[in-house]
Amino acid sequence: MVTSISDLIVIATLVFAVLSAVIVGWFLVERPAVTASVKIVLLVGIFVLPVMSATSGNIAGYEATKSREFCSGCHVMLPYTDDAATKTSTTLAALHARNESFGDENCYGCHADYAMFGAVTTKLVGLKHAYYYGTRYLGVPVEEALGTFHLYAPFPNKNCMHCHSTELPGFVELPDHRGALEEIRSGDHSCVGSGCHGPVHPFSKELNR
Amino acid sequence: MTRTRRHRWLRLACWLTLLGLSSFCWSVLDPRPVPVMVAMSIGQVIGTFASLIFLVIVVADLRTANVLKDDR
Repeated sequence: MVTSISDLIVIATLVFAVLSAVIVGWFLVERPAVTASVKIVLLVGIFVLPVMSATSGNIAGYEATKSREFCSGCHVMLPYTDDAATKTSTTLAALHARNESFGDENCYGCHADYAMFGAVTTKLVGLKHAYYYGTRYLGVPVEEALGTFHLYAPFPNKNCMHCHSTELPGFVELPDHRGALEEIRSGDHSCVGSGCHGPVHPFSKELNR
Repeated sequence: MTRTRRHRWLRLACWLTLLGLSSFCWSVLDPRPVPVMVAMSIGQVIGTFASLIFLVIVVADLRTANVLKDDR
């Protein structure tokens, strides 16, 4: 049953691909003479429909990369994604995953780059992840890998401030926030450090030792 | 370009189209890292290459038929 725009995009990709396959399949099987009308049919089969299928397929692929399930496709991420999906976990990651604003896209929601070309830079970093996974972690047991990977750069407070403005009275009135307000806003004082809201994942604590 | 060669290239474009499309179908039906990356990189290149082959054949045909000839 179609439940969302994403499902429609997936269906569109498949429909365009099947229609194109019918046309090129007909050409390959029947081997008709290449007349003007055949060329027009092939224009639809080799160019128009594949472009439409690729466009919707790229959108579907981009949306798929935002999901927690996609992140768990690399086995070393399983402890992180399993924790985030655990209803009883009290880690910051799991708390955010239970917030419907993040939900199944909680990994992307916190780790995305929110700058102007953030979607592009986030995907480029994702390719870097894939490279490291392929060259360093493929076949490495999860227990062995857990203590060895880390963020490329400290987690930026601006990602937290994408939702938490730091302007509301409830935030500013807290003594811990008030005392370090400028440092928090400038990113000099990390929101996710131990003692504040970290460790975000249950394993980060061991890494921070 | 002879009719036989043109046909051969068109058949290659058709096979490449099927290959590119199958990668996209794989990625939407099984959206894990490898299928998605294959579709959005290799699948894309294969599909573009198929379209380019078709375009070259069309241009070659038009040149053969003197459609692109400058009459001035």
